[in-house]
Formats: sequence, C-alpha cells, structure tokens
Amino acid sequence: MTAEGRGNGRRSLTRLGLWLVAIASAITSIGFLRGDVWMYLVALLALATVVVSWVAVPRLPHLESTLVIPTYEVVGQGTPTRLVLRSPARRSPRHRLTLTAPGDADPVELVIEPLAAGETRTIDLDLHPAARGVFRERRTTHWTAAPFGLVRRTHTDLSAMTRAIAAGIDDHARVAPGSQPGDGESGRMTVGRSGPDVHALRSWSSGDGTRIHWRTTVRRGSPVVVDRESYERTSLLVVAGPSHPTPEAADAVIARVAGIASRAARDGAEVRLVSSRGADQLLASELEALLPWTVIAEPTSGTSAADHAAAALRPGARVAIVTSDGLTGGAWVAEAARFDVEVVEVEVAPRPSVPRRKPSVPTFSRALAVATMGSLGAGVLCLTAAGVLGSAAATGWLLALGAGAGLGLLRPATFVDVRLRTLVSIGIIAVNGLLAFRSADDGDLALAGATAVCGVALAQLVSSRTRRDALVALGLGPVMVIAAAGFAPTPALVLPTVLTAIAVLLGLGAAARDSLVDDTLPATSLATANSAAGSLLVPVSAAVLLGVVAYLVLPLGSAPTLSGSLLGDSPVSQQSAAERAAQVTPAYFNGSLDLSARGHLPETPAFDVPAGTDGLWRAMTLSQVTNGTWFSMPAQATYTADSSGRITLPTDPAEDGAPTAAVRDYLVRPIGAWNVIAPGPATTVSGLSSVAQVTSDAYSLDASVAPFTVAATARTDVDSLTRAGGGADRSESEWVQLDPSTTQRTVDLARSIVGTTTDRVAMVRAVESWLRANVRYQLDAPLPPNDQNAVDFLLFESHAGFCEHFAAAETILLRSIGVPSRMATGYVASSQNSEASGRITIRASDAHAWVEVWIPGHGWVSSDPTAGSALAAAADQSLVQKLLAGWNRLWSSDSGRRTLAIGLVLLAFVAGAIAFPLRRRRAVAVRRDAEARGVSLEPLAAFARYRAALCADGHQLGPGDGVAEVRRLVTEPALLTALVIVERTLYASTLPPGHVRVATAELLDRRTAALTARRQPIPTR
Amino acid sequence: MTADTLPQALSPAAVTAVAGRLVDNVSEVVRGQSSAVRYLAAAFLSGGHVLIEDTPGNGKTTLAHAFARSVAADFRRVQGAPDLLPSDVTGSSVWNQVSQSFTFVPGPVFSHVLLVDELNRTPPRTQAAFLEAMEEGTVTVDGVSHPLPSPFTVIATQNPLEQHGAYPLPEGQLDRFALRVTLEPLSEDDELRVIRDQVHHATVTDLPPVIDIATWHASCAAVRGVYVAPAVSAYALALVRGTRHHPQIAHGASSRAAISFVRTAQAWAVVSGREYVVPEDLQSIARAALEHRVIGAGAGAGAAIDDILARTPVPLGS
Repeated sequence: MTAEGRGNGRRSLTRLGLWLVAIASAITSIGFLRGDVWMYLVALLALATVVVSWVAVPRLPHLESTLVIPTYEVVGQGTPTRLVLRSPARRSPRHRLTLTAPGDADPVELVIEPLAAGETRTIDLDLHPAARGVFRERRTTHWTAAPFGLVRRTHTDLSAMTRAIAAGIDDHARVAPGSQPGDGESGRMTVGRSGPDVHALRSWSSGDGTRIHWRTTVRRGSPVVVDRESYERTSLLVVAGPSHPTPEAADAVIARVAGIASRAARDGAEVRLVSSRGADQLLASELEALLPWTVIAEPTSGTSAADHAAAALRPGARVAIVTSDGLTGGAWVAEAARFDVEVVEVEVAPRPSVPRRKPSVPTFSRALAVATMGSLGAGVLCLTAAGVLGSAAATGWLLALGAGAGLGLLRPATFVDVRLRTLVSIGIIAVNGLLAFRSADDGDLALAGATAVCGVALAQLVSSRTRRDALVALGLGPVMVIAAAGFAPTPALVLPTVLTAIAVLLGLGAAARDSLVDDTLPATSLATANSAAGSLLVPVSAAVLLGVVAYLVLPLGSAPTLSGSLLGDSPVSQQSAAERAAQVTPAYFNGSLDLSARGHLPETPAFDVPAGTDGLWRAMTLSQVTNGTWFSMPAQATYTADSSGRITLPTDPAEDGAPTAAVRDYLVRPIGAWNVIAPGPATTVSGLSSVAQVTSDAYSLDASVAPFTVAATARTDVDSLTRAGGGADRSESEWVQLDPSTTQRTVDLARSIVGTTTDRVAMVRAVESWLRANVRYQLDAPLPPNDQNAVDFLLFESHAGFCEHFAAAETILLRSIGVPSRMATGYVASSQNSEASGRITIRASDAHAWVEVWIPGHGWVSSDPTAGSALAAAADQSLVQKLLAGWNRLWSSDSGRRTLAIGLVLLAFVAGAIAFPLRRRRAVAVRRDAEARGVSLEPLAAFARYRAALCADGHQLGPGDGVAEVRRLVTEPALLTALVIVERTLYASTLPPGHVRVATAELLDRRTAALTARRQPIPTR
Repeated sequence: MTADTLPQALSPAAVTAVAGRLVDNVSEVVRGQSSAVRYLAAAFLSGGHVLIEDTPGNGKTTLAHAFARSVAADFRRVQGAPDLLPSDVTGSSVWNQVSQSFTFVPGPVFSHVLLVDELNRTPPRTQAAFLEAMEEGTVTVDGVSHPLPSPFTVIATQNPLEQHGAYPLPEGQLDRFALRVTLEPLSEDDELRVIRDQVHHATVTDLPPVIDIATWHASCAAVRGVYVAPAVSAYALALVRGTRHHPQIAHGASSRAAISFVRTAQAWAVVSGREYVVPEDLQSIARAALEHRVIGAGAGAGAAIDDILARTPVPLGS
C-alpha cells in the first residue's frame, strides 16, 4: 500500500546535464589548445557556469538540490482518512498535493511541508462523506534547483502513485460488505459508500480487541480490524450576531465562526449555525462555500433568530455566541438556559488595521535591476566590438539605457505607472523596428538584427515589473553576446563578454536572493537572509577571476587568430589576421607611399628577429616623389638559391662609393609579412628557394615562407657621427629631386634652418632637431587639403604628423639645400618586445619610415627625425586614446599579459582585504545609524500587527512572548523566514538588506490580512 | 596545533560547529539529557563554571566527566569530603632538600577542567579556596599568587537531598557559578539504553576528546564577540532587576549575576547557531542562571523567575 514517487531520475538528469556541460567545456578547451581563441572563451564561460552552479547554488539556503517525493500510504478511508508520509533518506521538498474526490465535491489541496530525512508524518484528512473515495487526481508541485541558481517549478502527475494507492484501497473494497468482489477496476473505490455501517478497515494494532475483519485478514495475511461508524455525535450551535457595527466587524465574526466551526467539526461534532441579519449575505455566499460539510447555514432575520436557535438546540449541546459589538447573546442566552447547555461567549476584537498600500518596490531588487542593465550594456558593447553596431548608435543606445532604464528601475516609485511603461516600451520597439526595417532595406541584415535585438531588450527592461520580466531581460545580454560572436569572433569581445557573464551571474544571484522572501517559493526555515547576500558574490568573482587569469596566462596558440586590439578597431569581417596583415603592409612595402593616406596598423606579429638587433630594419627605399606620393622604380626579377642554398642579391648601384663595412648574418622568421628585411642593404639570403625583386633594393619572399638568414651591413645612424669625412658625393638628380609642388617657403625654411653650416652631418642634424622641436608626433594627424603640398601643410600649418611625414619633410628640406637623401621604410625592432625565447617580435604596428642621407666618407646613413620628437599634446590625443594605446601594448605582449594577470590577482586580494572589514564596518554603521535615529524599521511594525492579529485569533501571547514564540505558532516556511528576518532586524549586528526588509513587511501584512479574514478552514493535520 | 598558530577568535559558525561536536560527543555517553548538555556546552564556551545539582546516581558525575574528557585538556578531579583541606586543592609549599628552599607543588586546581564532586561536602575553608580560584583565576599560597591555566572551568556537583555531614554552599560561592543545572528524569527508552551501554564498562572512559585547548580558547574569544543589541542588554537587566523587587524573592540577583547572565546568553546563542543574542536566549537560560543566585521567599525562586519572564516585555522595536 505504498507508492514511491518519481523524481530522483529528474535530479540525476540535472546532474547529467552539468556533467555534459563540463565535458563540453573540456573538449572546447582542447580546441583552444589547438589555437582557437573563441572556443576557449566559450569553454571558460561554460566552466564558470558549472563552477557557479555547483558551488553557489547549493549554498543558497532555500534551494533544494534534490527532488525526493516521500512515500505515501493511505490507511483506511472515510473519516478520518489517514495519509502517512515517509521521507526517504533525503529531505523532501515542500510540495502540494491535490486530492479530488468523485462527484462535485471541491478538491482538497494539501500543502505538505518538507519532511526531514527519514521522518514519518501522519496527516488526518477530514473529508466530506462525498469526498471519501478515490483520490482520482494527484498533482504535486516541486520546486527544485536548476543551473544558474534558478528555481524550477514542476508539476508531476503522480498517476503511478495514484494507481498504487487506489489498488491498495481496492484491496479493501473487494472484501467490503456490499461491494462487488473482484471487479478490480483500478482507480475506483466503492467501499466506503456501499456499507453504511462500515466506517473503515485498518490494520490491527494492540488494544483493538475483537473487531477483526476476518475475511480481509485472510486475504491480506495480516490482521485487519473494522471500525463501525458511530452516530453518537456532540453538537454545537454557533450563533453569530446579533449585529455588527461595520462590515469589517462582520468579517471578523465570520472568520471567528469559521474557526470555531471547523475545529468542532474536526473533533467530530455536528455543527449548526445560526446567524442574524447583519451577516446574512456573508453567510450565504461565503460560509457555505467555506464549510460545506459541517455547517448547516440557517440565515435568519430579526428576532426570529432566537426561535431558530431554539430549534437548532439539542439537549447537551454547546452554544457558542460570537459577537463583535460588546453585546452578549442576550435573549439567546436566556433561551439556551432553558436547555441544559453550555454557553460560550466569544467576543471578536476589531481586527487590527492593515495599511493597504501600493507596492513601493517592484518585485525584484535593485541589485537585479542593475545587473540586468549591466548585462544589456555589455551586450551592446559586444555588438559594437564586433562591428555590428556603429559606435554612435551604441553610445546613444547606452545613454538611453542609462537614462530610461535607470529612471524606471532605480526609482520605481516615481515611474511605476504601468501605462507609461507600456507606452515607452512600445515606442522603443517602434523606433528600433523602423531602424531595423530600414537597415534590412539597405541590405544590412546584421545591423537590422542587432537593432531589433537591442530594441526588444530595452523594451523588455523598461517594462519589467516582476522578477521574471527582469530575468528575461537579463538573459538577452548573453543573446547579444552570442550574436556578436556570430558576426565577428574577435578578442575585442573578451572584455564585454566577461562583463556580461559577471552581470548575468550577479543578476541570477540577486534573483535567487529575492526569492528568499517570496512566498510562492519554499523558503528556508531558519536561513539567514543577509548571510546569503554575500554567498554568491565570492564564488562568482572567483570564477570570473580564474577565467580571466587563465585566459591571460595560457598561451594563445600558434594560429594567428588574435588580431586587433582588445577594446576596439576590430575587423568587421571574419578574414584571418594574416590576410589583414597582407593587406595593410603593402602600404609601406609595395614601392609607393601616399602621405595623405591614413591607415591603421594592427598588432599582428610580422617578424621575429634576433635579440640585440633593436633599431631600424630596412625593407626598401623610396627616392622619387610626385604630389606627395613617394615611390621607387619597380623591378621584375626572381633570384633563386644556388647549390649551397644561398641567394646572392645584385649589388645596389646606389651603394657605389660607400666605404665597405662588416657584413653580418641575421636570422629572420617571417610570421605575418612577406618581404626581406635587414638592418642595412642585404647581400645574400639563405634558407629560401627564391626571392622576387620589387625595386632596386627591395625583395619579397616567394611562396615558401620560411625562416631565412640575411647577410647585411648595418646602417650607421647620423646621430653617432660627428662630421662628414672625405669621399665621393652622390648628387645625382635622383637623390635631390624635389616634389614639383614644393613651395618656396619650404625651401626658405630649409635654408634658414641650416644657416651657414657647411658640414653635411651638422646640416642633417640641424634639420632633424628642428623637426623634432617643431613637429609633434600624432598618429591621426590632420589630412592636408587636396590642393596643398603635404610637406608644406605639415611644416606651416598642422605641425603634427607621424613617421612618414617626418621622414618626407626631412627629405624635402634636405634636398632643397642640395643634400642627397631618400626615404626608407621598414620596421623598428624594440627590445621592449623581447620574448623569453631571446627573439624580438616585430609587429605590423612597428612599421616605420625614416631618411637615408648620403654623407661623404660614410655612405648612406640613416636619420630618424621621428625618434625623440615630442608626442602630440594631450588636447590632440585624448587621454582615452593614450590609455588605449598603453593597454594595447600591454595586451599584445606575453609578458604584458602575465603582468596583467598577476596584477589582477593582486588587485583581487587587495580588494578582498579592503572589502571584508569595510563591509562589516558598514553594516555596523547602518545598524548604529538606525538605532541612533530611532527609525522604526519596516518589518517591525508589520510584525507588531501580525502579533496583534494572532492575539485576536485566540493565541495567548503575553508580554514575555517574542518572535520565537510566534515562530512556534507558524509552519509556513516563507513566514518562518520572514520571522527570522524580523528577529535579525531586531537583534542582529547587521541589518538585513532594505528590499528584504520591505518584502518581509509585505509578506507579514499579507498574512495578517489572511489571518483576520480566515478563508482556509480545511484542516490539513 | 598550538594556541600560537590558531586565529584569535573563530567565526560564530565555527564555534557553533565546535559546540555541536561537544554536544554530540557528550550525548554519546549521557543519554536523554539534551538540555543539560547544552547548558554545559554554553558554560564551557563562555568560560563559566557550572554546578550540577541532582539526586545521587542520575549521572551528574558522568556528565561532568564526559565534558572534561571531550576537551583535550588537563583534567583533575576532587572528591568532596569533610576532611578535605584547602591545601589538598590548591597545593602547598614543600621543603626542597636539594635547593634548600620551599617549592610550590601545585594542587589539582591547576588544570583546565576541574571536577569537584559533591562540593557541599567540603568544609567552608576549602570552599573558600575554590572561591578565589573560580573568581580570580589565581591561587594564593603562603602569600604568593599563582595564576591558574586559562581557560579554567569548574564543574561541581552537589546532592541536595543528603544534608547530613554537608556544608551548604554560601551565597557568595553560588553566585560564582554561571549556571546551575539539574538533570531531567530519564525516559524509559533512554534509561534502557544507558543500562545497555554501561553494563560492560563505563563508556565515559572511552570518550575521545573532540576539541583542543586552542580551539576552546578561540571559541571563548569568539563567544565574547557575539553581538548583544542594546535592547537585549536592557532586557537582561530588566529581568535581573525584576528579581530584586519580586514579592516572592527575598534577595535578588547581583550585578555580577547580570554580567554572567548576558555572557552565558552569548554562548547559548552560539550553541543555537546564531551570531547575535535574542531575548529567547535569556529566557532559555534564565532559570539555570538566576535561580541559584536569588534567595526565595514563599513559593520558590523558580516560580518567581517564571513570573518575571512572563511579565517583563520582550523588546520588539518601535
């Protein structure tokens, strides 16, 4: 006669799901190790989720991570029907059991409080005779913990259990007198109805005497006794009235009458009720529904009430007279005195006034609201980083988010009007829909989709009024992240993704915390509400920190998927970094350079070169200039390796007349660029099968990209020379040719800079230092007007430029005073970018342009006017840009990333060390503040009202009975939690958070209202 | 682990766990006395002394012994007898032949847990020796004060029935006990279990220690830090002052009683798993903490205290 509910399977399914996520994370992590950064990111998020679900969720006190249905056993039937619940090894959750009897009787709903492990509880059901029978339908409601700290509510139709119970009872039915033995229809029971005198069959227990029902005993193999129904019942007459000053008083009387009647009915008394005129309506409509099987309602009017009372009285009955106006039963008492009856007079106190107020807070906390906004904001950042949303659109959107949603959520009291919210959300959807429609019309489906998602998210956020609404909005953040990742999986998504994850996890934590005081969820009995507040923050922060640190420290893999910077300038398409680098670099290395072009150089590694070779690595020189564009005559030749694997390059005619210098070998490893670079003119290249000549002194790598060794003479820098030596000069027109658009004032300027100096070294250095002193370095220098010479614009108007402008200006200035010079392009190798392997990484962003000048006696020497020039003033380069530049530098080197990781960990420690005492101090300060101001905190007043209501309900609470005594009177978990919060508000060193206090007060007020107009007389125990 | 390596104070939750271990361990041996065990645990954690009062043979000594054994600390036992001298308790100076000087030989009182069995059978002189040890934490012999180890807890038992050859404890000494605990009558089941447990040998001797001195020390420090809201302190004072004006009490409780009352309530709160004191903590221990400190007149001090508890309003804010 037992039934084991299902449910354990569901729990293990949840576990299985978590395991699957963990395994998937591991697999994606392996994917990362093979070089896919995005996979790694996904893995980290999944892992963080699992960690949080496992670590944090069971720590939330109100959540049951197990789902166990107790064993039910129905013993006997009729009145009382006894339901025996046995909990298996684990604690069972709270659930609701609905029993529906045949016929028109109302279903009986039982709320079964949690059973401790191994606990057995007996519930006697007082059912109407009509309700004795098959419990045809049983539904239980469970609340279980789901991943992400969510609580899932499931209804289970326990049909298997129903059948088992019915079959068990059927066993009796077959042997009951008058029944049809063996009709065996499962799920139907007829026993209690067919034998009028048989009250119940039940197992024999000691002291039961000889009432054994032998047939059943034989059938069952264990002794069964039969209870015969007894007709000897006491009777109670409840007299309500005689008059009530207010409807509230009448209400109170009805509640009281219902209480007395239901208790008497439970004790087996026959209850009769007589009411006076004042309560007629209520009696007819409500009491009847209230107590259909115990109370015979006899509405009366006026003085005839006494007659009715007299008619209803029976010898030996008791009379309860319930009044609310201080008048006693009067005539009825006298009437009752004629019989031998016991008269009990009950005076109902006016019910304590419960303030009816509109909810002053939404049903979710501000923490959840803020987290939701954070999630959506980070989602928008993600979309922006992926290049889907323009930065202007994103800025506007974020502003709207801050202003609109902030107004709506942080100040709910001022913006609670539903119509206004609806209007705003409709407006948002309309505007965004229009934008999306137009974008789609323009063929930009990505923008259309993103705008639509953003619009829906914002509308959802603004119109959120319940916790569920807010959670939906919260979930849209990750949707935006996924969308962004789908458009362009770039590292720029890392930061917003992490932000979204933090916001979502914190939001879920806040939501779970809010549910502590929500009476629709099973709350903990004695869990402390505000200790739960900190329980999620630490694991979430730890998981996120771990993820970020791991991301920073672990190698990024060999595939060059990491390109662009973390915070912006991300590509809009999914082309690989190598392709992008190949597109950018030719701007410097295809033999021509346009001074009015602006481009961005990514941080993609281009080469690595041996340590100790920091300085200028030359790729080619440009000597011709026309209208601001520098170029060299292209050459078309391919040189292949000889038998020793060495490619001998032709001697550059420009080098004729230069003194010979030592030639060294340099091992260069090309990573993202495909030309030969060397610290000076190259003579041989080995390690490659062939190279292609681009100009007279520039070569590009062929298809075979492999490390190569280049033999070259390092260039001297002009700054290391003191004066020119004797020797040949190279004053061919090629080296002194001026741009035809060169202005006269440029030539005049050159002359005035040099003055009377004749030494070539001194001349070059004078021009160099003039440029360094008068032109500022600025990457996004203003563009010259179309009709103006670029060098003229730089020298006389903008006074700002970058390397190629400095180099061009110096070359023009030198050439205008007859100094042979040319522009050189290549890279700067900086020892800052040294790797542990002893190599220096050269990135695309290290591309550089400088000047080569012919100095008699020294040949071509390099002069770099950019080095040492002042950076542009802060007004020109904003602080944000500087920070971004610094960040990019830090982010793009391995050592920088390690430093960043260590810094983060240290920061976390420091933050923890500071936050912990601060939190404690702040909590104490809040408490002191509240005490000092004598503020009556929200739950306390509500508790006082609830306590008064309990007193009015007949509970004896003296001055010495405090919160603990009240707690003993209640069983509802949410109410127990509320009382713990009241207790903490009164006595603990830290106050519970404000929204918890408010919610507690509201819960208590709801219960107070329910208590004063009690409408649940169905006894459950 | 030594006291040096342990943090100064444990967290309230950790102390609750310590108390739980203590209670569970003692309950292995002492059956059916859950409230007495909890009282003792609270006294232990607040550094107070306990007087166990009951008729002979109901497990007073076993209870005291079980607690002493549960702590890995110095444990001594003194059997009260009319000829017990103060020096038998405190120790005395003896002549050292080698060093040609008096050397102090410490008595049983130099321990962490001192079990004094049948305290009321010791003569007043010896009781006075306990007085100093319990209140001051020092013992003075031949004009020299010797500090007792810390923490120091006295568990004394006395038998209220047998007054022949007994010296009733002076009020001053009774006041030094934080709690006076009486045992509950055992249920049939519990008593049967006790018999089955003990029939072979006294199980208390097998009891393993569950906390060490460092933990005990840290727990005591933590208990001192348990938050007592001003309203709760005021409530405690109201209860104590109530004993001074009650018609059925000839002489009310002292200020020392009030201090000890609140301290023990702090420990009780921790034992109950809370990090703050609520009025119900005070109510729970009121009889154990106050009854022996007042001199009743008429119906008895216990009923008077119950009356005070029922009349004194609990602080409920506003």
